[in-house]
Amino acid sequence: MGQTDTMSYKIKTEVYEGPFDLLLDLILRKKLDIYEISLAQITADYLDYLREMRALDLEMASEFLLVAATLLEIKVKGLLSEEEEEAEDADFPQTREDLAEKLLEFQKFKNAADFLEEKREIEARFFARQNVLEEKFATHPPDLLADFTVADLAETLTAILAKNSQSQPEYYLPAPSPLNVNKKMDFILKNLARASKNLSVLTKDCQNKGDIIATFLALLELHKQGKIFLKQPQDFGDIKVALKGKLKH
Amino acid sequence: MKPLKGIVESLLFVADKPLSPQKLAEIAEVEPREINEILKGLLDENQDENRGFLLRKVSGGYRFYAQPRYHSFVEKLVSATVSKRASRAALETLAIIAYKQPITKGEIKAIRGVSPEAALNSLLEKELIKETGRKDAPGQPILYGTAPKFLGVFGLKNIRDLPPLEKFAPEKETKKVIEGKLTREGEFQQ
Repeated sequence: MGQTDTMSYKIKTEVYEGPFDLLLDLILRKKLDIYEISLAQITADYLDYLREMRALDLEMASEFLLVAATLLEIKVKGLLSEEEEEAEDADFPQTREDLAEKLLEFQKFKNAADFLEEKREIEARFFARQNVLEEKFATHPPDLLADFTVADLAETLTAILAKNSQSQPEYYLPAPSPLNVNKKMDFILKNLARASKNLSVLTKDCQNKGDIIATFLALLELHKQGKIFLKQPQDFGDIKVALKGKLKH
Repeated sequence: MKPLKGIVESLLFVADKPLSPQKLAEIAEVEPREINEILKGLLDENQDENRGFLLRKVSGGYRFYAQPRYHSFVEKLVSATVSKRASRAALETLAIIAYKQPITKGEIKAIRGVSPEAALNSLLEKELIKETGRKDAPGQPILYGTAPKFLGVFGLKNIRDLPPLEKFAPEKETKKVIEGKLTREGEFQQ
């Protein structure tokens, strides 16, 4: 059959997006009747194809198998009388009418895809004004020293000096004293009962680093348990701690 | 009276995304009605093809664009940003999602007759579609829908801008051929 030769050649040279795609092409462009295609010819074509492709493209080969298998399935279904057909594969049309409907629906979306392609080609000619920040600037942190005056600098230095003069000389125990986070949690909750406190206030009476660490861990735990709010109104500013429902600005 | 045209132009010039009339009115501290009049005037000026830029109404508001007739020159400047063409498979899958959203992978497969896996991945990567949730069905399959970028890439103002799907129904001739080939009774060979 001359027509079949053309068809098998086509299958080998073109990549179809699945069986519906191939069917539409066969029916619309080649004007072939799917039911005139020879089963033996399709199978032989596939085997030939595999022989040729062995060292080549496995994906192409399996795609072809899908298409060929679908053609066989359709043909076989056509050969069986309709009463014997029972819907087994819900994915695949069971009758010719079904298949025709599917193909018409598919053709609709192919046309819609053409429309989108056209729209995109038109749109690609429009270049929007773009002045987004260059990457290196977009990721740059804000200027934290903006509005910072010499007076602020002096104030900060005074605060640091004052703090240092208060603190007791550090001493080290031979073994680190155990951190009592639970006790710290109780301490913090009691302290917050009346009003919210700043972190600097909560750590004011800490004797050493271990104490501060315990406070820090206690705050994390309380926050995890959802008992407190933590808020830092300013970058590098003091952190406000409040019981849930009691945070006031 | 405020030099409203100049204000609107300068805002649109600086913005890196479309500005809505509401936003423009808010910044210029005037009624949206006044802004709409200015925008209408600016759109009229688009007729002058000798200008290098024009105003367009796109999804989300108004934005300046380079005059499309000079696109070949602009491309030389911003070639790196020209997006790669999507494959035919991706485009068909996208068309199905655009019209049938939210839709599952299985439902797309039923229409195309082939698994849309690869097409979905490439569309997700290009941010043209997104996962919109899960279908209340066995296996809770993922539902897909178009993402905001979809409108921009295809120059649509909103999703209702898509022509009705029925407009894409095959022509009578095509329909007849398909149905004729497939629904004719009897006479098989082999």
